[in-house]
Amino acid sequence: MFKKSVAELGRALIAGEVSAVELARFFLERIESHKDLNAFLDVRPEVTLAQARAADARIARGEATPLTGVPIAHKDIFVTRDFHSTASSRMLEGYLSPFDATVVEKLGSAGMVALGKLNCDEFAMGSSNENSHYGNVLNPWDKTAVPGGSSGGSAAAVAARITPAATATDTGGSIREPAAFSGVTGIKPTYGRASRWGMIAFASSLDQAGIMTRSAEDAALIFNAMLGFDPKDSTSVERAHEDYTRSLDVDLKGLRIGVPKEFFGDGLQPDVEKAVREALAEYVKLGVKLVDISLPNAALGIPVYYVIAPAECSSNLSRFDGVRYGHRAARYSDLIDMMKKSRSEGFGPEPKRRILIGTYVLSHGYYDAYYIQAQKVRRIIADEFQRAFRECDLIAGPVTTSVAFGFGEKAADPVAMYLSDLYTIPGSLAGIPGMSIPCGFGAKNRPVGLQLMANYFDEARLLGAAHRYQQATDWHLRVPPAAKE
Amino acid sequence: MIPYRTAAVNKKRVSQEPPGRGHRPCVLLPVPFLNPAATTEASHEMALTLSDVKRIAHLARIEVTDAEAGQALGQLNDIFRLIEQLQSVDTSGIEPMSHPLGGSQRLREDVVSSTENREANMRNAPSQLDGLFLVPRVIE
Repeated sequence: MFKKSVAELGRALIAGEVSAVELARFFLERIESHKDLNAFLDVRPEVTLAQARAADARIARGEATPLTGVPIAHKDIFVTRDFHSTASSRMLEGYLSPFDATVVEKLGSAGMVALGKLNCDEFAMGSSNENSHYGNVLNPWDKTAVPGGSSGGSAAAVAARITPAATATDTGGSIREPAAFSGVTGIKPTYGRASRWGMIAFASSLDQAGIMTRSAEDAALIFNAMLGFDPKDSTSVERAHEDYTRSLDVDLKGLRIGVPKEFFGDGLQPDVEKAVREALAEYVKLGVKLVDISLPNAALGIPVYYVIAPAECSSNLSRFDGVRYGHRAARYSDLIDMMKKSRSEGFGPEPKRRILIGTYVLSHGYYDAYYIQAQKVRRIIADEFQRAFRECDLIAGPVTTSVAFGFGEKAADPVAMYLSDLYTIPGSLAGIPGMSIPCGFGAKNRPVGLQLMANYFDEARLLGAAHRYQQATDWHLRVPPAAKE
Repeated sequence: MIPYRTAAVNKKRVSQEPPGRGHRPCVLLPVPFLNPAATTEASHEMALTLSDVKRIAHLARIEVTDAEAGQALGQLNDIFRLIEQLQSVDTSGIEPMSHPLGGSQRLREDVVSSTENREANMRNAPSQLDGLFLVPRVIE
């Protein structure tokens, strides 16, 4: 049962082969028996089972969607009415939202059953999930390795088959990097496709919700229910509804995939390069034409990102003042002291570090030199993608320079950790859709991800190319040791 | 390596170059060059001082002990060495990109769009009385 895809589960539910309540109980038991992975932060069987009963009633009425009754879990960056929403921070311990995030509400409206909330890096800041106030998430392939971050709980839970799908968010690579490290399929859509309403804000010009699944086909099915215009999000794009499954079976003959030479430079580990090159060769067998392209300033994405993201983070996180919600210190002398003590106790080291960087780069005398300069270089990088897309339909390369690293290996050195996102940040800055699909194994039998990127609003083609690869290979069907426990 | 304190001055000089020339592509730096540890020796000036860190922390309303400020100082300077690469990019004639899809901010009709739900909205308040948030005395 745990090996079934979202598409298969949806069909089995409609055919009456299994009930939503049976499925919910099955996955709740798997959550319980895989507690050592620390993927879940809040599980409430009574909430999940009530949603499952409603799904069964809907199926009985003949009103089911392809997703009705299929379980899903949500990254704890999305606020939920029925589960605590903490952003993995002490600051929001026990927080109960008055409303559901739009993404949560849309998937609930399609009939998906929420299993609970997933661990992540605090306020989605991190690349290893080691920044959670609630402890590390373990990689199901190798429990001494990080699952990636910030959506580490989402990646580990999907990899270990304790949920068929999980929501996730991406600011600089927080979907693609953990998907690669944990051997699952992860996709972020074009900026503006998924509503940011109810997503606890980190860097608003970059934050974008996406999904982790076992396959591209499952991601396409969920995108059909999850994406779309939301008047409550000021940067939501108004476009007609699309069927993201429409290109799944399109022949790849003649498709041009651009391979940026900068993504294969010094620093890329040979095991990752080998798996990625083999994946590209597989695409050639499928009729794809590989095109050499260049993204000359892609590596400047890291310094650009570490100006823009902290700047927006320092602004967004100023709302946590210990007055309306969130942690308040027990002892303080006056209002300012209360805010200072509450914030310094409530935030962990990484959010504090980014708040300090952001406060500095936005301060008087440095705003133009840092923040505006970073926004200009951001445009240079985005323009380079547009030039590249004149020569190709999709772009492919590695997601990360190496396979998943071990706990503690980079935790003491923020800059080394920041470099984990070298290949994912450029696409995030441009705002284009990107995904990671499993394409083999590297050192210590840890998974390798292939990154695929498309131009704005070209998710259907991106998902189609990923699906065809997954029809020809079985990397995405490999099950980690922890899933069999 | 440009000392951070002169960054604003340097920026001014860059902006005086003739506009409309487009940007000069910057050579992509391989990963080892992105590692600030590799360029530490070339840097003759530490950008931030301990008092800078404390001042920024105060502006950000975060309390830091001397030990925390000391630890943050080293890490922040590492990060600023990374960020400093941006100063060498010629961006004359380039518009800042504040949003991936550009365009203007969408406006909504000036009508009531959300319902009042005081109880749910105040449920998470650390301290409240009669539907009001409580804070320490601010006016003597």
